[in-house]
Amino acid sequence: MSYMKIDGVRKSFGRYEALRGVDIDIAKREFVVLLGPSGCGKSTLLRMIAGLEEIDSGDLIIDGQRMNDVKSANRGISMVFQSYALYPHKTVRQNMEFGLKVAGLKKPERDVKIAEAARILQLVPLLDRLPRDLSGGQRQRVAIGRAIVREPKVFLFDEPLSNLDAALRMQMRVELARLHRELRATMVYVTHDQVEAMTLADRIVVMRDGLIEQTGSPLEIYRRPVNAFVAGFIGSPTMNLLEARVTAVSGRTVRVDAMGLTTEAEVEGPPPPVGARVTLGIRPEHLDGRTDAGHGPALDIIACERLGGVSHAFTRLSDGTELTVQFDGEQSIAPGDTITCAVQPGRAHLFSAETGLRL
Amino acid sequence: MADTALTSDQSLPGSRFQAGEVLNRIVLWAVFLTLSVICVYPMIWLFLNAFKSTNELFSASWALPETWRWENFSTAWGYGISRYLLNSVIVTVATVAIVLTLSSMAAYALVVMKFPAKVAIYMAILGGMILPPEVSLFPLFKVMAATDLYNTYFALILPNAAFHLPFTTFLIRAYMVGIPPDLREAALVEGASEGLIWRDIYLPLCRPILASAGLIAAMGVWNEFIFALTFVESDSVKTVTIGVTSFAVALRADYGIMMAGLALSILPILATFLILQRQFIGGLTRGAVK
Repeated sequence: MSYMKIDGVRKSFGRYEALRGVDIDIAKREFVVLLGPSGCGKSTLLRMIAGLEEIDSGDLIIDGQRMNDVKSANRGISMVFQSYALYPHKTVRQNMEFGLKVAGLKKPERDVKIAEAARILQLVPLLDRLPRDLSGGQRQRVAIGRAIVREPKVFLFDEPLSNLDAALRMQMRVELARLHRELRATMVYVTHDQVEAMTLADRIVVMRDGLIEQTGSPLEIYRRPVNAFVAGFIGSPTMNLLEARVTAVSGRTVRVDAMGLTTEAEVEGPPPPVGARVTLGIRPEHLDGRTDAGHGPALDIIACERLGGVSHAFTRLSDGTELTVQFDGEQSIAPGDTITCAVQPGRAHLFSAETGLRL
Repeated sequence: MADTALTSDQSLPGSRFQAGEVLNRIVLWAVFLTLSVICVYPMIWLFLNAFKSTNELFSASWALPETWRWENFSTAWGYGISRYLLNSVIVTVATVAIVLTLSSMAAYALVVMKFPAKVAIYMAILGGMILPPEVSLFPLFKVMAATDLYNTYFALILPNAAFHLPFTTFLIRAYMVGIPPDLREAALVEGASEGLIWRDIYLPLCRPILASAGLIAAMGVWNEFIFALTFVESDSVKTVTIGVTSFAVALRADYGIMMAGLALSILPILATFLILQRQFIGGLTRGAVK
C-alpha cells in the first residue's frame, strides 16, 4: 500500500526539462534513497515534494491527499538541508522550537517535544548553545532534531552528510539508520553517494537526466543492474565495462571474449547471435587477479590503491582498455607489475552495446 | 668570507622591502593625518570656542579657553535650542524607523520573492538615488499645502523618508543577498509566513547593515536643511538646522553662546555615530563584499 505516490511528475526550468515524468510509490516507514549524478533531478524532485518548487504536471499524493497545491507547512513533511539551514541567531532550543511555535503549540507541549528529540539525538547539553559553537556533526544533529520535533509524516533529507568529513559521515550514517528504526518514519533521502544509498536505503531509486533508471533494494540493484549506467554508478570502485564479442551461445548461456578475457553469462531475453558486439560488465571484486602468468590476459598495473583489507589495482590491457581488479590486502602488488586475471563464474553482466540495456 | 657576502646579498631584498613598507606607511599616515585634521579640526575649534567669551574668541580663537564657561551651554539651552533638538530627534527617529522598515521589506522582497518586473522595479528604486531633493521642492510644497501637512512633523518625515529609501534599500538588499536562501526555505517548510521570516530570521541577521543604514539616514535627516526651511515655519516644528540659524541671528553679538548652541546641535548625532561606528563600518563592508 503506497503511502506517498509520485505519479508522472514533470518539471521544467525554461527550456530545460529537469524531470521528465517520474513515478515512485513509497510505502509507510520505508527509507527511499534518490540516487544519481549531479543534475539528474533528484534534488528538484525532493524540493517538489517539500513544496519549495511547483509541480508542472503529475500528482504528488501523501497519505491519500493530493499535495500539489498544498503549502509546504501543511504537507506533513520536514526537511533536513545540505547546509543544515540552522538559524544562526537562535540557540539550539530556539531552532527546534521555531516550527512548533509557528504551529501554535503551547510552551509545556513544546518543551516535552524538544526534550524528547534532544534525548534521542544526544543534544541535551547543547540546547542553549548557538549553532556557531557546534561542530559539523552536532549541527547536523540539530537540523535533524528540528525535523523530528514536528513529527512529520515524511522526512526529507537533501544530501545531509555531504558537508561532513569521512569519519563523521560514517558515524552519522549509523545514527540515521538507528533513527529510522527508532522513529519508524517514512524517509526520502537524496544523495549522489552510492555508499550512503547502499547502507541506508530500503529501496534505491537511481535517476539520470530527469528519469528513473532503476528502482530496487540495494542488493537487487548491485546484483542485477538494468543497464550499463546503473551498473557503472553502483559499486565502488565502479564496474568494469568492456567491449566484448559473443563467441558461443548455448540456450540462454552466452560465451563472450573481451581482449582475451573470456567468460560465460546467463541472459534473460533472447541471446545475441554469435559474433555480436556486447558490453561485458564485471565488478573489480569479481575478478580473480593473480601475479602468475597463464591465468588470463596480461594486465599492466598502472596504479594501486591499498585500503588495508583489500587493494585495488588499476590495470591496462594490451589494447589500452582499463580494468580495475580487487586483490586481498595481503597480496603484494605494485605499479609496473604485470598480472593476469579471470572472471569468477556466474558474476559477469551482459548489456546491449547499442542501448546499454541488460541482455 | 664567502658566507658573509652571501648573507649580505640575501638580506638586500628584505631590507629594500622593509624600507618600501616604512615609506608606504609614512605616506599613508601623512594622508590620513591630513584628512583627520581637515575633518576633526573644525569640530575641535567649535567645541573649544563654545567655552569662550566673544572677546576671547576673537583675540585667541586657536587657544584653549582661559576659563571654561559652562554657562554658555545653559544660556544657549535657555534660548530654545532644546525645542529644536527635540523636534530633530522626533523627525530623525520617525524617519529612520520608516526608512528601515520599508527598505528592509523592499530588500527582502527583491532578494527572495519571485514577481514580474523585479529587475525593473529595483532599477526604478535605484533611480531615486539620482534625483536631487531640490527638484521636487515645488511639487512637494504644493502637495504639503493641499494635504494640510505643511508645517507639521510629517512635512519633514515623509519627504526625508522618501529620499533615503533608495540608498537604504540598495544597502540592505546587498547584505540580504548573502543570507543563505536555505534559511527561508527551512522556515517556509516549518510553516512560517513571509512576514514572520522577514521579522524573525532576516531582520536579526541584518542587524549590522540596519545599524549602518540607520546611521547614514539619521545623519542625513539630522543635517537636512532644504525641506526644513521650506516645509515648516513654526518654532514648534523647526528642526535644529533651521533653529540654529534663527538662534544665530538672535545672538549675533554673542559668539561664545552661539558656538555652544551649535555644539549642542551636533552632539546627539555625533554621540550616536561614536556609539555605532564599529557596527557602521562592519555593516558597510559586509554588505559590500557579499
